[in-house]
Amino acid sequence: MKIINTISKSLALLAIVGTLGIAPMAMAHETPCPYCKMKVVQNTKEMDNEVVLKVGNKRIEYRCVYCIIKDQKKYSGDLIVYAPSEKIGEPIILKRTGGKWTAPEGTVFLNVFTKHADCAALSRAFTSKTALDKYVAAHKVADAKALTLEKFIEAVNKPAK
Amino acid sequence: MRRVVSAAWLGGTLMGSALAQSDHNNIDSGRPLRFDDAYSIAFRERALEFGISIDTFRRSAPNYGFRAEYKIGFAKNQDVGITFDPSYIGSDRRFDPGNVEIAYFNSLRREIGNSPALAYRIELGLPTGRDSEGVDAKFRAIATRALGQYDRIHLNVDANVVSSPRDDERTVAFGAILGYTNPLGYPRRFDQTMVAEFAVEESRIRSEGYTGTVGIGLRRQLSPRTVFDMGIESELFSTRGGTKSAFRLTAGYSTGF
Amino acid sequence: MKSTFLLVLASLLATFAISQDMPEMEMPNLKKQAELPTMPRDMPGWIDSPGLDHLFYKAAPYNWAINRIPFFAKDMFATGVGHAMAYEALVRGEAPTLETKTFDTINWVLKHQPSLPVDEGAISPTFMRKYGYLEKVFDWAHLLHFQTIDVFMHQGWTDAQKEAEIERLWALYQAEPYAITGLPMNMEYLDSFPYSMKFRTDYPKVNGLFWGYHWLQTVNYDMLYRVPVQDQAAQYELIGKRYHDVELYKTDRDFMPMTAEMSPRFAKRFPFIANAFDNLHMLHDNVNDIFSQTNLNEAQKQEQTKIAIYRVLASTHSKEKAGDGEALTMHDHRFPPSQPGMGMMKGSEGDEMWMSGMGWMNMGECAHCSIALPEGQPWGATVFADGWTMTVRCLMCARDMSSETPGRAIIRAATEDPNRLLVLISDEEGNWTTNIKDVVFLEKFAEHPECSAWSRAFTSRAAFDTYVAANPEYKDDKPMTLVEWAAINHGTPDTFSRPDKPNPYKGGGGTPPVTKSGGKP
Repeated sequence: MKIINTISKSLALLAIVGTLGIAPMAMAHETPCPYCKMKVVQNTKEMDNEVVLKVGNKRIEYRCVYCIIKDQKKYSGDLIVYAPSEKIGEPIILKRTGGKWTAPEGTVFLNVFTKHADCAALSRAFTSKTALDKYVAAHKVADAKALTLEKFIEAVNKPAK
Repeated sequence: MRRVVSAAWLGGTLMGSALAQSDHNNIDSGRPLRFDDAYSIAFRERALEFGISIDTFRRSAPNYGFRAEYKIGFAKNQDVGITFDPSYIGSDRRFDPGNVEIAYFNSLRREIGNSPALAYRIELGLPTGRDSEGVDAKFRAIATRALGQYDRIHLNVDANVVSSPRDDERTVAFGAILGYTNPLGYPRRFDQTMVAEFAVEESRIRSEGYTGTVGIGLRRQLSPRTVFDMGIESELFSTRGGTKSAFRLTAGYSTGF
Repeated sequence: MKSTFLLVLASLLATFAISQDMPEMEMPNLKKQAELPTMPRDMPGWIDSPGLDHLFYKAAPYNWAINRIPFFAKDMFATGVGHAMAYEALVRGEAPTLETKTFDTINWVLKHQPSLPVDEGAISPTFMRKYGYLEKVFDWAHLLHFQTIDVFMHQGWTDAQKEAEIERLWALYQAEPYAITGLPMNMEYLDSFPYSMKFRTDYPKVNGLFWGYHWLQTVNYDMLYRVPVQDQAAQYELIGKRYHDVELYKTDRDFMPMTAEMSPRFAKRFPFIANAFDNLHMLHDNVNDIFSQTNLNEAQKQEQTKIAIYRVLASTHSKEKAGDGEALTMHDHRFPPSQPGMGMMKGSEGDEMWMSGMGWMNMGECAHCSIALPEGQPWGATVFADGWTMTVRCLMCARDMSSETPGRAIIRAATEDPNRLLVLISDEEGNWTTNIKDVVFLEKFAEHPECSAWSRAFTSRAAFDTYVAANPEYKDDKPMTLVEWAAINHGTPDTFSRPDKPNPYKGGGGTPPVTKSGGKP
């Protein structure tokens, strides 16, 4: 009975999550990241990787949050980003409403990649600085800094040297 | 004499069929100059061509010409056409309905490797014009070949045969034209061709010799079916005192369907 | 709660796992024939005839209707320039600057297209002098391209009249000895000669242009086929932009675009024309490969070009029929059971084929939910997005597939009226415009195998009511407006699956041995 209840709850949650726009996003085709044109990295058992942008009636996968911020100008409406966090199945929800970006309190960003082959691993959101530090240590990320949303966007939009 | 003037006018100004076609780089006599390239219109194509011309003379009033031709590509590499070319002879102040011409064109081979494209045309002029008698025939041999990449030269050799010559007329008069074409604007535009020629023709009048003519013109595609052309020719020299046209201005419109 | 999340995660992962990328593999040397093909004994005589044999298009009221969409017309005219300039450069020994000087010249023309059709022969006089017989084949097939487009763009005729005229044009085309066969041909075989793939390898940018032209020349048919004339131009705004921004410059296609990939509805209705276009485009590829060989002398190039023509001529296959033929030979006319307008591709088995940008797809199934496509009315819909065109079972699949695809999209869908095609065009954010202003939708989400019954479009409220009256299980459902319908998203269905095989063009996954059914319909 317990397992049936659990399954029922899970299905109910899945329906809710679907309505929110993070229903299974597995593409029926091989679409690259709209910004960097590289393959979108799929989730693994150890870590979520899929970054989903909800805009209007579209739900589009990107390779990383950096790519979304870079590509945002093509969309005029409000945006919701489901950014994978350090917690599997618990994305961080970023919003652009009326052109202004917001993120849950405490959210920090890592943004240290030098080429897009690494962007999915090195441009990520975390629920806290502690989580970011843990990730950085585990993956031996050099020169890592925890950026606030504002600093992250500023870093993304900084003109290339 | 009136007939002689008319014949010279026809021979010099509107000799040959003004072949209708709708491709700016497919060159036919009269549109706007007097030489042909060695290619017929396409199989199943029908074409209509209209042209007007003004001939100015140093010592007489200008002549005005109008020409209309209907042509059919009845087989691969072959076409037939019928032409009407009424004119107004300024010096005589009279209208001439002109001869009705029927032409057959046969393109024998395309340009392959270094061998030129070859064709011939036979034209019969029926005596429908004022004071006209007998049937005039013209035989034209045509060769076209490339000169460099896009430039082409066209050699036309003519024999004009008069079936009922008057005493002062030749039975056969010869002529040759060296034509030159170049697509203007390649590789940025593809809708116009510059044409130029140098022609030497023997007068049909026995007492007259050869006339040398130069001409230059432009053919411009207006639509997928239509081409506008304009040209100017001038008779450079005339041996033994033939009537020389100072300038001949021609404009035409061709459509294929 | 933790276990709940784990289950959700497991569900998500299970779905995600299906769409994992195929492993990357190095491009291997694909299996090629060791020897150059030899001259057949029955080479048709016209190939050595000296005439220009220029043919005019059929006189008809629809000629040049293509100019109703000037931007489209210009793009089509420019493709001729691109072909001709590349051939001229190749036969003049200018291959070393093909990817630079010639590419730049062509690219300028593609961006500043001629407003009138061009005479390809005039742009490539050297090519004409050397390969005039090849130009006869190209020219005649290109006329078929243009006239079929004109028919579909002609205003004032019914769809039935247009389709009848297309059949007549095909008959006219086939009456000439230069006609290319309308039988499906095995593309793997046609790309297996010692010279094959040279051009795309050595000249990827110019080859990309060629394949870009072929993308345009094939994608347009579904844009036009059974689409009201007034609804065609709006689609080209999107398609034309895609062509210029992306398709012309793609250098990573696995193979040339196929007509049935780009215009599946047209290819199914006129398979012989779709096949002829694919065979024509493959002839272009063969010729490109031959011309770019440095180890063949001029005589060998001439001979191989003639043999390449011979392979695809209608006269060569006059006594054969679609579906027959020995596998992987010149007379392999098998086709996927669900798509008679395409020959077998490398690695194909039955309806499964590898599509560039899509991976393995099954042409008999909905591209979104993997359930078999419906037969008869309503036939479903197609989705054009991201450069591809896919057939789906229902409006819901079409919408949800579009929603997960970046960029603008076009849905062409069946309605209750077989003569009225619904054309929906979306912006970047998935907001749709429609060609049927009174369109309403039924969507009563249930199991996918029946989706074509509960997800439908109707041309009017009255038509919806009629359907509901005949199908009382929907009596409690209200018709949805376009805006209401567009806001729904059910994500990727759990029925979706795809063959788990590697890219046959990148190693492994080659053509399987032919079985008894072997893809033969």
